[in-house]
Amino acid sequence: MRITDRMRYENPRMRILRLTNRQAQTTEELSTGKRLNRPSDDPLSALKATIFESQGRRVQQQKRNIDAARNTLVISESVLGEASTTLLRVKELAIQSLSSVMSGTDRSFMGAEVSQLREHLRSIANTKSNHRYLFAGYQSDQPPYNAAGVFVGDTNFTEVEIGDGLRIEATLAGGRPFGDGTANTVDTFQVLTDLEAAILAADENATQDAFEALESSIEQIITSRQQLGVQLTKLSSAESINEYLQERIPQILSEQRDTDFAEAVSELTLVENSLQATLAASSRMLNSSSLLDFLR
Amino acid sequence: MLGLRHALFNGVSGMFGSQTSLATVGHNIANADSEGYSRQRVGMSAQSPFRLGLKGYVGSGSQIDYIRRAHDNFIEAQSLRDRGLRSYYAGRERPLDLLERLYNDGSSPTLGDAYDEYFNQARELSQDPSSFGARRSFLTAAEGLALTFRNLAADANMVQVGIDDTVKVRAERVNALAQTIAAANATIVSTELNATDANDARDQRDAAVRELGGLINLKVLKDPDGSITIDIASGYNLVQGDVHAQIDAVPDPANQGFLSVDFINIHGTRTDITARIDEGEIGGLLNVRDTVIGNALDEINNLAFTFVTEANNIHAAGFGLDGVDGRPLFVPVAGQAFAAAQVQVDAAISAEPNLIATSTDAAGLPGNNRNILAMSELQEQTFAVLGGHTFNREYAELMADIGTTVANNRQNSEFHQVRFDQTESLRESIEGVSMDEEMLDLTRFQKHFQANTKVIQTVSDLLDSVLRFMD
Repeated sequence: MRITDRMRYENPRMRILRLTNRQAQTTEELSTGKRLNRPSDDPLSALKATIFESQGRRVQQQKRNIDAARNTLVISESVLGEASTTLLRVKELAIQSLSSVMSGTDRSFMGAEVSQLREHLRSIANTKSNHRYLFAGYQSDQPPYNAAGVFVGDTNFTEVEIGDGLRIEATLAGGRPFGDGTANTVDTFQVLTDLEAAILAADENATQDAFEALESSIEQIITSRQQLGVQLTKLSSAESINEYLQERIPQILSEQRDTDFAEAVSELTLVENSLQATLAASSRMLNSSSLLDFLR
Repeated sequence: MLGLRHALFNGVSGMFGSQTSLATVGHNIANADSEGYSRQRVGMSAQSPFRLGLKGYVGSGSQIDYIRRAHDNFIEAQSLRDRGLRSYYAGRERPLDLLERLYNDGSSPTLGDAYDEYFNQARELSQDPSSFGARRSFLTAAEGLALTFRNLAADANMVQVGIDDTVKVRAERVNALAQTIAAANATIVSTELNATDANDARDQRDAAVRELGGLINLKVLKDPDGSITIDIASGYNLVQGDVHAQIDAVPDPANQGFLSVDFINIHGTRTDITARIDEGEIGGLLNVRDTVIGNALDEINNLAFTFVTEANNIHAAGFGLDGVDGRPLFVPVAGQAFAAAQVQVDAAISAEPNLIATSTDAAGLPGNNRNILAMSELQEQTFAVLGGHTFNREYAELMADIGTTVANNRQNSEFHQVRFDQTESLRESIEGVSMDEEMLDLTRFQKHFQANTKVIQTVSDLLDSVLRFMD
């Protein structure tokens, strides 16, 4: 092959260009720490990375939902604990009124205490958390029990998403622990009103009836607390899946798009070596003498 | 009897030959770096001899037969073809890189990010549908998503417009080259009528043909008179003899006003040849504009149309805090065409976040979150029109498709560049100027010239002594 002067300059130029290109690419991988700097670097990995990135964000949001739901459930639980204590005190009063002989004054004192406890229970049932009434169903912007203790909310419960395709009830059904005005529940406030009237009237039979109804009311709150416990357990298992994903997804993402430093460094060394060799060879060729140097 | 003059003329003819050779060597050296130049050689032979009675023949010096350039038709044709393919892929490279950056440039939020933000804000709002702040945030996310769709469509369109600017310039270049080739044809035909080689005109014409081959798919047909016919876009004669036709890039109303390439023949008749240009830089650019970006936009529009329709269906079934249902969240889009450019949050909702339909019934206000839950769960839903994918997945697939197109193009571009470089090397090896070779020739013809002057001087001395004798 004839080697012309143009080839002597063009060929090294093209080789050096190709090598510096590869050098720039490897340097980019090393300095950004990313193997994937644009989709065309590895379309399949880019596809996977994008999907996992999206899932990662969704998982984070689901974690926020889990935290918010736990908040509501834990507050409901502690509120119902307080309600239990209050009703147990009422139960003590009822037992007292049934078991001992009491004067009219004693009864009126006892009636007044039941009335007070009833009012206390009503304020518990109207507890707000995060500016929403906990036991009001969807009518969360108004107190579920009015001054007369009548339920004015609805029986819905709020669901939130805590995992892909997984919803959890973040609240109890409206009115469930204290009575929602339907035959499905015991109307706790009516029970307390009845009890107060029976004590004041010294009506032993009515007091007995009210006492039994009171037992059902307490039972109803215990059931609600159990339900909250079940929800919290579900939440915990969803959370452990969520935590696993939060840990695993960044690892997967890193596998898909982060630079394998050992590999990149050895690639860079390789490119630099061939670049140096090319430069050295080219400079020797360009410096090599031609006939021109010897003609006089 | 032979005269002294005969010997004198022999010396003169040799001197004349070496002079011409020296001039050609000089021409070669001067053009060593000229684009498209092929080295030239002087061909010399002995002149017909002089008969010397019955004794034999006496030589009568040398003559110049031709001055011809080194040229290889086979390599030349191969180089033209390799150049067409190289330019096709190289031309696609820049707009494809721009397009790819729209999908993911590694820094600004992508459509996938905007989807995530929208659906996650819906989830946040589902925790507390009565919260004004959460409504505001969801609305911001919806507006962000709409803007991302519109930007994507507008930016892709910008790339197409940028391509058109280049196509326009390249089309003008095609016309200039056609003119050069036609003019060179005329020169070559008239020069070569006298049986001489029009070397420099041929070089000039070859260079023009090579450049033209980098722009558009062409075939070169050689005519017996030395001129060439250039056929572009499979069947349209751009140059024939000394006349040339033209191409013209004109806005095509049927293709959103993008440029189509018209062929205007010598009678002024226009034909649209856009679809027939499939090689060279113009071919590559048109392919990216109409096929790659065209298809990508179709997919994005499909995504936008499906999303707006589905999101609106759910939203319209729900109730805002004012107890009214039936409102779309996004301004409804009539069809898939240009859908992405039209994604926009409904103006009334944009002004009043309380109108976001979070509830499935009027009675459940404000706590009912079932409708906003359904809106957030749209993210996990798959659609047959999206190839059985979710919105996020489909976007990721589109992005990977573009990535694959860009990666393939880059590979092809590199491959064809290497091939082209190799063919060019071969061509250069045959046609190019080697300084060492020219130096050798320079010395050789210098000596040759000197030897011939020596012959002339000797004859002159002889003539002198004859003349002195006559004194």
